[in-house]
Amino acid sequence: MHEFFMATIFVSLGALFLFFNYNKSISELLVSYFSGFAAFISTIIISLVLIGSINFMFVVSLFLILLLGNAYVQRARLASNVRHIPTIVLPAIGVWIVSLTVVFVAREANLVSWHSDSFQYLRVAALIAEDNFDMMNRNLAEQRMISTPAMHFLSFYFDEHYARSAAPLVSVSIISIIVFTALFYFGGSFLKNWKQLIAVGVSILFLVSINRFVFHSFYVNGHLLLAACVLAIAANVVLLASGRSGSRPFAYILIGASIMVACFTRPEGFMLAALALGPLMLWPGVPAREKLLIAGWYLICGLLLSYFLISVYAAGGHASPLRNYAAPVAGLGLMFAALISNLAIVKAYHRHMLHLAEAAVWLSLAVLALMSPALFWASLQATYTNALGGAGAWGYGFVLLYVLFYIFALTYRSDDFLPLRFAASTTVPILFMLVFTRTSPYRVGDGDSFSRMLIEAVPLMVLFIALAAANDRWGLPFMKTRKRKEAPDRA
Amino acid sequence: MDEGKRHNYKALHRYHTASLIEIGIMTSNSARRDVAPLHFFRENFRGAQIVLPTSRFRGNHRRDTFSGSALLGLGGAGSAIWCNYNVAEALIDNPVEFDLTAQFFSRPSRNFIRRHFAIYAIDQNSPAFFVVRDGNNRTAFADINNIRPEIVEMCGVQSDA
Repeated sequence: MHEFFMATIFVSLGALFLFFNYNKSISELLVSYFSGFAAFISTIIISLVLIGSINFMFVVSLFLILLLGNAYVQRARLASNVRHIPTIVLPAIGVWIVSLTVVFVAREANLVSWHSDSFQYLRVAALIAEDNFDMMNRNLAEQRMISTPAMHFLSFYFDEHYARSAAPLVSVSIISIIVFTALFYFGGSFLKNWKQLIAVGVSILFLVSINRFVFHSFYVNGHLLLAACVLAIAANVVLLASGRSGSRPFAYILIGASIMVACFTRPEGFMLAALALGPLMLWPGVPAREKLLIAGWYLICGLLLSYFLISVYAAGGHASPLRNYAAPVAGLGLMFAALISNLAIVKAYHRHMLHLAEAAVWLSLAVLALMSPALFWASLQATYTNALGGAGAWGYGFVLLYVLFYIFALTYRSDDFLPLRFAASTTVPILFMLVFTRTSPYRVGDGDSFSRMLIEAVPLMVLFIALAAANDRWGLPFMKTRKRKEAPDRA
Repeated sequence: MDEGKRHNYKALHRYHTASLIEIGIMTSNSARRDVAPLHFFRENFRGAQIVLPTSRFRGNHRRDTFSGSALLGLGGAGSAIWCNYNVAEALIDNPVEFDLTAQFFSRPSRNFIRRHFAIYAIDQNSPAFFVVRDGNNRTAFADINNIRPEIVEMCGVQSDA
């Protein structure tokens, strides 16, 4: 019953966020489950990091602060929003029914994907449930972290070991975020324009036909959760940067909760969140106050992550390595980018800066490859066998997606999706670079960590292809096209 | 369904149960080695105190299978204390092995687990357990009735712990 109850709570929270921040659209309800879920996981993280346990009063207080704070910020609109309650409630009931259906099917189906790491996540979930979170060791803290165990810990109170519907609902959320982004980006034309409908529909069908996406949809691990968080950030960055978001406060709540969850999902989480958020910091037209607010929140999340890791090291009598300070440094970098974004040179060259940053990531990979050629080549060969040779169970799905992504990335002629392109294209090399933090190369087999991490880039590429394919702004790479008057996408 | 076969990397596979612990123990040697001891302790002695050696000891398991975080988490132990004792010399002569026969899920898992792990206890009411190494070189949990009295006394474990 607890999974039904929690799904109800998450959808209700998302609907409440929409009520407070209502802006002529109810499309945000598509992501109401994910926004409520991410907000819940965020409060669990804050409670565990700051007081070392799940304190019911503390968690409830955090929620009240969040909700009342949101209500206070939007106090001028609350009275007028009350008349929209019927508009919100009925569709919200529909989303709730869909969520409960997913929970029901997931609980009855006995479909689960797992490997030995899955039990490590359950170990942390059990520590949370048994109120022994202070027993976290360095390996569990750095590798398993908090977000994924936080998805499952409630199950231990009901003599179960994991929430069977957690991964499937994250999977459905990814599809919801893609549709949500298309709805806002294309506006009223989306449901009337067959080309846009087909582009988005075929992209989603392609996504769900990828063997590893289905696998991760039932996998007790954090890859898909991180993918969903990064997608939520990048998708909202596209909408905010292009001025096509629905409610900006709602978008920032979703981004904020996703940043916190991403930072505490996997070791690479804070990096991928920063890559998805980075373009917003440089984007002209986004108010500096909003940039500083979200960069500041990222910095707080980074500080919490560092504090958590350093505390676990200190509790075991170990000195904390430098890498544990990386997240706040990334936060300071985002703040710096936000601060300089008003300079004329940044406004004029923000696109070039993103291209340069993308080139710098690939260049860094090349330099590291030259420094450790054996590690690089062994990993590259294993990745080739996994992604193309069938050993990673990707079929041709990933390679086809990657090729399509770069065809669209090189031929698409609009700045609107540049933030999404940047996040998607830098994610793969950044993930590959993680091999240089290890002593052994990536290996052949579907359990290889890079092969599993690739799913974190997949939804970003699918969304990029879906949005780009639905437009008609094309040109050959590196060739200037004649400017022509473009019809607005919005109806 | 071939219950002895691993399907964990298939995109979709319908199991006969939703219990990931049971699926793991039925189909995976790593789960039999590193999850089964914690599962059996949780199922039979949840809330009992666990005594761990202060020095690291080698075994057939992952290094952290018999650790405080594992036993206080998935193992369901009520509390943990650390004491300086020799895991290979803590058991009494002729200890009483706890019967896990009905809990192994499958024959392959029973054979594997029995080779690597055991529990020594008179009954399910034992209040405290030591992590030990038995004569068959298996890592085991042993209740205080199966531990040499001088070690129990040295570690300050009470019979009503």
